[in-house]
Amino acid sequence: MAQRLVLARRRHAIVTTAVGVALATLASFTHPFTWSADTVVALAYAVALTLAWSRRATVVHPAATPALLAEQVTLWRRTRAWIALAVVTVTWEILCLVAHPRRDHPTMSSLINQFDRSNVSRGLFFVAWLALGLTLVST
Amino acid sequence: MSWSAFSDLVWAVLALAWGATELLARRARASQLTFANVLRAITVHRVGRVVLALSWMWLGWHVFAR
Repeated sequence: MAQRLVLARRRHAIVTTAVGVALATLASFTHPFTWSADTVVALAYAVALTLAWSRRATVVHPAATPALLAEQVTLWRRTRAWIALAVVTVTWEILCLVAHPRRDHPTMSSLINQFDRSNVSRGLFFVAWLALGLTLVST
Repeated sequence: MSWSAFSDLVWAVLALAWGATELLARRARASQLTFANVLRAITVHRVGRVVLALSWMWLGWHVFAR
């Protein structure tokens, strides 16, 4: 039984990786504002949704018990640096977004676009994005 | 210093700050959580999971499709 479960998980991981690499390869040949780019991103959504659906029975999220709520207070203290960084980053992004010209005030998107021009870098960015999404639905 | 150089400098400082926070969080007695643990803490709540999933979807759409 346990061996069957291990085999099933391994097969699942191989299939997910193969689908991810295939999608990233397709994505590396697409360009924004085309139906092919829309389709590849939609397919990635479908993969993430399928994975989330297949794991819905195995992922257990803890209920909001008093102990967990007390933990949340500690959590707030232990994430202050990240929250501050996120606020500063988003503020700077908004300031850049409303300022012109874009060359003098680059946003995160325009910075990514500079590294996103070749097929290889586009494929690698897609792998990173897909891996992030699959990690999110797996936790 | 030009606006372009100043903007690049701010982005570089922000990137370093994110990296440094992660490195500091990985120390044995760190007061802050690692980024992965922050994400895990957010996904404890259903709303957090939905917000993160929608953020991920928007990011992919924005970078690769639009």
